[in-house]
Amino acid sequence: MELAADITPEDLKVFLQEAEEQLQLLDDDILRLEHDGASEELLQEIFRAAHTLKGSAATIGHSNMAAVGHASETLLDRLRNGDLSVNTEIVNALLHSLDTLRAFKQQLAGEVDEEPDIDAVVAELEAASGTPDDMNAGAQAGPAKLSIDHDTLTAILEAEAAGQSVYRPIVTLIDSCEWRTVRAFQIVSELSNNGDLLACSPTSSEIEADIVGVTIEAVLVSEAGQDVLEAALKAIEDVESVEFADVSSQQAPVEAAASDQSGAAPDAAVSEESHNKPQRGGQTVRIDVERFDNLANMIGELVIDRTRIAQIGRILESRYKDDDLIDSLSETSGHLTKVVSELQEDIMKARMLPVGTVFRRFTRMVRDLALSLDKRVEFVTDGEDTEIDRTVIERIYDPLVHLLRNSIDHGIESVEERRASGKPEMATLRLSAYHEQGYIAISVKDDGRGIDTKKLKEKMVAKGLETLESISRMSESEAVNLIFTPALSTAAETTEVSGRGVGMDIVRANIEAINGSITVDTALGVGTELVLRLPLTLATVNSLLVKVGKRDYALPLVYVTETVKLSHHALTTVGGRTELMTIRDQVIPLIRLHDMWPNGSGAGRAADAEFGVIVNSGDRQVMLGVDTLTEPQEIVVKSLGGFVGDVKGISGASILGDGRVVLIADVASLVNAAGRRPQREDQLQSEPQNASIDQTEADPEVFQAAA
Amino acid sequence: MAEDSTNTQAEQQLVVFDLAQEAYGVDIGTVREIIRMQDVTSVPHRPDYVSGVINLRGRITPVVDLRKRFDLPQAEITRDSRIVVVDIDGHDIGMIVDAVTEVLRISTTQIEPPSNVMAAGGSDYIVGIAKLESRLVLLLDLERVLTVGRADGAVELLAAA
Repeated sequence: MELAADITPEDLKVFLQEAEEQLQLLDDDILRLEHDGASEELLQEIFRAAHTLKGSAATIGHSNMAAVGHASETLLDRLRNGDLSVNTEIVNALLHSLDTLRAFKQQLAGEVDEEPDIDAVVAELEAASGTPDDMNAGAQAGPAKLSIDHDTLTAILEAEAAGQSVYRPIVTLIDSCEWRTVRAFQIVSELSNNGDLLACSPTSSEIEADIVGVTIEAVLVSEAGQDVLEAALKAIEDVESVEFADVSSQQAPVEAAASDQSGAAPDAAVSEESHNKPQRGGQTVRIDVERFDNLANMIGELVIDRTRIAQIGRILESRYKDDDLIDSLSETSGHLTKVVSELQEDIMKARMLPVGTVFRRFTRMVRDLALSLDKRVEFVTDGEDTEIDRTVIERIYDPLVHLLRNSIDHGIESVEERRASGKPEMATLRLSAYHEQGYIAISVKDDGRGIDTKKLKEKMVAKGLETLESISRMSESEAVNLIFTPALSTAAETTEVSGRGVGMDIVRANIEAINGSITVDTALGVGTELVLRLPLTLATVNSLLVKVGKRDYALPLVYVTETVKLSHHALTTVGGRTELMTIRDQVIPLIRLHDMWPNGSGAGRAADAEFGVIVNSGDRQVMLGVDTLTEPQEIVVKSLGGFVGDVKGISGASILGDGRVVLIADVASLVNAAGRRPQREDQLQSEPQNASIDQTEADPEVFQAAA
Repeated sequence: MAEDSTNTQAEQQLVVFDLAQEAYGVDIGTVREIIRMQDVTSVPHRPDYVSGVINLRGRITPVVDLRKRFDLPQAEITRDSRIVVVDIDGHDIGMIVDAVTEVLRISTTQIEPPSNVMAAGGSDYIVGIAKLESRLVLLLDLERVLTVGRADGAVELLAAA
């Protein structure tokens, strides 16, 4: 694959961005075409996007992309002209062409190595078009011969009547010409410089699309004379010969030009429309994601410095009350605070994207998957306009793919099964987003068979993950939450779709990694709903600050349900090590953070912990023993960096207003490693085996070893 | 040996610091800045030579105790103690040293390969010895100092670079 020689990395970047937009638009539109049927408007939009894509591929000199783009354009043109009507074969061919184009794009972006094959997809497009594409054949052998349409003919006759000379030069390039497109462009511009170009083959849009053969024909009205034209054309490199055909004897049938005409008309519309489009809803500026993140980080630093300056200002104020300079310092500092706050707010807003950008990517996946499983699924999305931080969007894509696939693969029944149980054959899969108490909730809801907790329980026992006894005591909601158990798959056999190994536990881990949570609600035979609750942004986390020994830690408030004074509650020690706290009949294991993070806790003994923070993750609960509690505050999350590496139980660090560094506790992993489902006190005595399990689970040594 | 003033590569600038009475040097190009000792937030479950992290103008920056790294006897932090922040593959890492003494310009001809018999700490991390009139400066291979033989972080750092 060769690109035009003068393509800069910036050009390529712009091309890749634009290509992605056009591909996404095409993806959506073609699915709409299948779903809603053809409308003139929709076909026009699809045609335009395909044409723009083909054009920009040609601009960077990517002939393979242009060829695929051209073949699909031909098919779209036949749809638009009403020669064909939409069917699954056509939609599949179009979707496959998009896949191929996207594969080329990924290859250009360096994401994949292999060069996609275009023959199969071009053949598929041609088969769907009904006839081999003449124009496309031209891509290899050269474009169709110049045909003179009615308008051109009229122009020729008028020129002749006015006594002007009309020429029809036929320029042949040498076979080995590597720059056909460039030469064709040079030839056409040379001709235009010397007269009035009435028609040419290849047309200018064909040249733009890199569809150029070895001969270039044109009709022009010129006063320059044949000798001059011939000399000018021969001066162009790679030109083998220049002939002049007799104009009057070559008058081709007018109708042959019909396709040319329809090809030219949308061209004008394209340039106009595609330029107007991105400006919808005000002017926008494209900005590199990396540059933007840098900007956001710098503002984060500014926020910290601002706080520091304000603090120093206050100290100075109390020290040098009478100095006039202090007044202007506090005034400046106040103004700085205000400006930085606004800046921070604006940059936060600029990071927000509607979730629709990620939702749209699923439409295609759901369609293909349902089709491959012979299921009928209506995919409905709601709340696409709900805005969420770009970084959060990136992190929820994979979990959502997993949930949707799970729904279609396991949740939604086959058409026969649905019919037998009196349900509509068409299942509904609903993906919605909405605001909920400072969080964004995203729900994946199907009307499938629901989760069979009985089967789930049997499976847990069969796999030795739970005992018959413990299972029998489980409530229904506890049982449903068993789907989050690692190494569990509810499908009788692992299918290609659900894949292997990656289960709901991974989904939950991913969501918790961004301080979100996931809950499940299911009814047998009626359906299942999974709800993700996500923070609006990953940049800041509302956290409780606690002291453990001489260190400060931040506990994200999402997980915190309650704080208690340890001395107010009964403490039971089981097996000599594990401490259990009884609060309102609930038994909760206590993890003293001094034990968890011994290094740096100073002389503080484990038993010194004064407060307990009850934290929840999933259906598990533990109490974390700490020394002191302080007011919750918004903190900016920072990574500990590659050098320090992953520390089990720590998810990152933050810098407080006074410049101190605090570590942020990874509460979800603490709870999952050491926690357990809340139990009633009366179950405790009858369950010595479980208590001993807890003993090892809560053992900090074991926890550490898992790191 | 004749001075070749046109060949700038024949010269090297070093930041020289003290550690347990030995002089160590690192190329000035790798040094981002030198700051006074400050509060280091320790991170649990890391090797003991990883002192922790500091707030370097809003950036969380890891800090390594070079004495511990080289298995040298521990010393009190003094007024002279400094954190030398170096850039390793685009990552800032601080190194706690006893004192930063000078910036030296030396000719590469003054550098000799490390001998096998080395008494100083961190001998595994020495790439060369600069022989000056009255003393020796041990040149550190920072990549090795800060990445080799460490816990999981090392591989990650290199992979991330």
